[in-house]
Amino acid sequence: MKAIEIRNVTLRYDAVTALEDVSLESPVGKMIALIGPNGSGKTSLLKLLAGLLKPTSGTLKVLGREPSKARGLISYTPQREEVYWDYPITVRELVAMGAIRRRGLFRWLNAKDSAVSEALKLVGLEELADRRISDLSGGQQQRAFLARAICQGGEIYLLDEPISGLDAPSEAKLLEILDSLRERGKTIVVSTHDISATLELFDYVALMKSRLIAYGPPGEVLTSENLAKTYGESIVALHLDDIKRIAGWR
Amino acid sequence: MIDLLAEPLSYEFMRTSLITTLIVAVTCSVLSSFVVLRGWALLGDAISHSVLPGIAIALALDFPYFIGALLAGVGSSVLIGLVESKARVRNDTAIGVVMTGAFSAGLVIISTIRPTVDIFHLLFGNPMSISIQDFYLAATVGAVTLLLVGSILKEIVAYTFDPVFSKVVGVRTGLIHYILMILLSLAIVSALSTVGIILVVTLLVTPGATAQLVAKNITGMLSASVAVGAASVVTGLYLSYYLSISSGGAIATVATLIFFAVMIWTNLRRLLG
Repeated sequence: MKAIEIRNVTLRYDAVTALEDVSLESPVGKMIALIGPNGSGKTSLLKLLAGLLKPTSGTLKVLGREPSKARGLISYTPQREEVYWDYPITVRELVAMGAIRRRGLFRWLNAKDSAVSEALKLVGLEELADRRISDLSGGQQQRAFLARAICQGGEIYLLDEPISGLDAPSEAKLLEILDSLRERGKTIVVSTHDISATLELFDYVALMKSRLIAYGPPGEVLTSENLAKTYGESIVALHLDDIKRIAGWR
Repeated sequence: MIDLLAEPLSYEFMRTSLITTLIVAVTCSVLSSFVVLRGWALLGDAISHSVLPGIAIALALDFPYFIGALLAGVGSSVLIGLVESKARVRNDTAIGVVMTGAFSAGLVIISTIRPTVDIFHLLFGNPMSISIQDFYLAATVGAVTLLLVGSILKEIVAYTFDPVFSKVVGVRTGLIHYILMILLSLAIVSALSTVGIILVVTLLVTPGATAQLVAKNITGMLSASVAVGAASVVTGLYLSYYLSISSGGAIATVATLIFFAVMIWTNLRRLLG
């Protein structure tokens, strides 16, 4: 069974076409990066996969089901800026939100729970469990978000811009955790601006500009021609430098 | 000192007023935490202004005013969402359009069909003329609010912190949203006779804003918020009794002064390390 299966999906908001005739698929246990400039439809595609939006035309399947019927299997992590980090809750309470459906009425979030502790340990935040989320750095916030998704126990992880704004060590740490989730058979879809990170680690890359410019293994997709179609000629030189740098490291 | 505190309480109207207004303050202060955390201060303002046409129509057609107010309050929150998505304007614009529109519609209806209604009382309240019905209404609304918020606290927290994640994880976010809108409208209705449509916004915003300056967790924030609301009501009503000043105005002013005092205190403490 395919983890995700997107067929000829178009999404329009009134006059704006966010996605046009996008088709892509992936088996289970892969890491997929959606790459493209702002407004290229990356977030829209993630929201479609999460069942938060309905396509204007075309079909989407997640693990063989309609996204809205696969709720427990999908976790969706929005961009970090979309929540209010001064909200007075602890890291443990934030992570426990992933398990909210498994707890009855009247039960509060901070009760001890093995799923929460395990998720905290996996992302290396067990020491900070009882700290307020406002005390966390950007990288720690993102790992707390990921722990919440892990705690939910889903199969498909959708993450919107998880590495944007992180410093290099935080980025490396986060990608390492995503890699370990993939080893456990989870399917991970992230949107990102960062082409260099995707080169090494991801199984598939989707270059997007409302339409799907190219989709496949990074080595095949990230050609100067495809990047020029996605970002425009002037910016490509910059990205190519990035790619050469990474290639040099290996 | 004891005499100063006890004397007003020898009057029946003062006892009813104090207890009713206290209940209203507790109700509003609990909701206030979520209003502040979700960024709904303007929305609270809008709902409170929008209950006016509901009250006006209820008076005209002679059915209980709190039903009219409740329908208008919840209706306005739906209408704001509709204007935002259909007119493709920003949230604050949608709120501005609906709030002033509803409020002026209320003024127009009241002036045409019931010119004798004291609009001043609706707008600014009058805790000194509270009836036993007002007390029962406030007590019922308070009990419903505490019971509901207590039983679905974690869902409310999850929704107000991250609505999108909550929806995907399976929380019934639409239901939670409308429960909060209904509770807000009910709280505003129960506050009509005490602090009025305009000043209730103080009780829906300022206690939560003050509590957020000091709270370490959500239960601490709820308690601090209730403490600020209650202290404002008690202090405000005594000031109003002894100084013969507007009671709603006194309560709102005290709440605001507490906010600034706490803000200055927390900033000084941070500066002095």
